[in-house]
Amino acid sequence: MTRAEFLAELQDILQRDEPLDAEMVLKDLPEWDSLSIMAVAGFFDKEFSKTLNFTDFESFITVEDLMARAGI
Amino acid sequence: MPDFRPDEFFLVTGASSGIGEGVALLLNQSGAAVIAAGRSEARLESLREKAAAPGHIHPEVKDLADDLDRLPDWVLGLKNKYGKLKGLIHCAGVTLTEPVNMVTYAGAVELFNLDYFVPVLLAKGFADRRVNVGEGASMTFIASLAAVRPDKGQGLYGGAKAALINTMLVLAKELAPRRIRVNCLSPALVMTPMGRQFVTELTSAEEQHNRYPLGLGQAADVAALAVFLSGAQARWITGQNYILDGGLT
Ligand SMILES: NC(=O)c1ccc[n+]([C@@H]2O[C@H](COP(=O)([O-])OP(=O)(O)OC[C@H]3O[C@@H](n4cnc5c(N)ncnc54)[C@H](OP(=O)(O)O)[C@@H]3O)[C@@H](O)[C@H]2O)c1
Repeated sequence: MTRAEFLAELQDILQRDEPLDAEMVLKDLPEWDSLSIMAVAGFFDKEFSKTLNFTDFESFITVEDLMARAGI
Repeated sequence: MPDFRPDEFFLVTGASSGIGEGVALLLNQSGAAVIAAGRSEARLESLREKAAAPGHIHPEVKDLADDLDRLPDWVLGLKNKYGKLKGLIHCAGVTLTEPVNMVTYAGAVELFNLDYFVPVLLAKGFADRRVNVGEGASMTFIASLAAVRPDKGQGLYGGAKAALINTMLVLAKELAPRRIRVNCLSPALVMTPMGRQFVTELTSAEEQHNRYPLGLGQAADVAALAVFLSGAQARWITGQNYILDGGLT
């Protein structure tokens, strides 16, 4: 998955009209709630075979952090 | 705890881990013979090492999701190998935490296969007159609190477990004339490999622990009731779903 594809996928998971970029702070996104976090965890599990836990999500500040964790 | 004889055979699925392992160990300790089914041969072997009477644990390596159509035949095959079965305690299962907006049909089918269709077809196999001992035989299925009090993210998992409970209530009625009993257990969070992963997924372990007046559950807590329900003292109990949740609900 390319970075552009990741951003598009994340935008879809967050059900957001506006595109995302890497520097955006997750907590500032109105769509970043507990349900989205659950959805992102499922996405990482399926797409990257990575199990994210509570402490991981505590440590993610920006969209870039998510991409780094995905390894892209 | 009931006393069983070593010629009383129980099929325990999911015996390689967590709740199923707890059930297999307690049945074994109570004197019964256990046909211990799981996918991992190594983990079934380690179950045998932990058992009070290792000679009465009979490992069967089986992927239950493999060929669902032939599951009843697999149970019949076990009867041909070991003799008529006294009980089935079904503990194999998978969990899934995802909001409904992430549901895919393929994922839903995979989950329902293991958490709903597998137990239904195992029950069909066990209920066959040629397979079980008749009067005094019983089946117990591990459902989940999610079937009754689902949380966010448990739409599919809770749905499959609710369907399981419903079908088993029907089966209890269908089998009552033959004095075969059918019950479900619905635990909240139990500290098994599955439970431990769930805990760290969305919250901290401490936060989860604090929600439970009696703390989090252990496999042995669930095993105790499953084994009781398999014994003669439970002869008047069928068609029930028991919640075990440390006072949560
Ligand atoms: N832990 C909880 O908090 C909790 C709460 C409510 C309900 N439950 C239910 O309790 C049951 C047992 O859970 P657990 O906590 O003991 O989970 P676990 O430790 O993850 O064990 C799951 C068991 O299911 C077996 N299994 C999974 N897929 C299988 C397949 N395709 N074919 C054959 N066996 C398969 C596994 O076998 P292998 O290891 O050999 O693969 C393992 O023995 C499940 O139905 C679960 O939904 C658990």
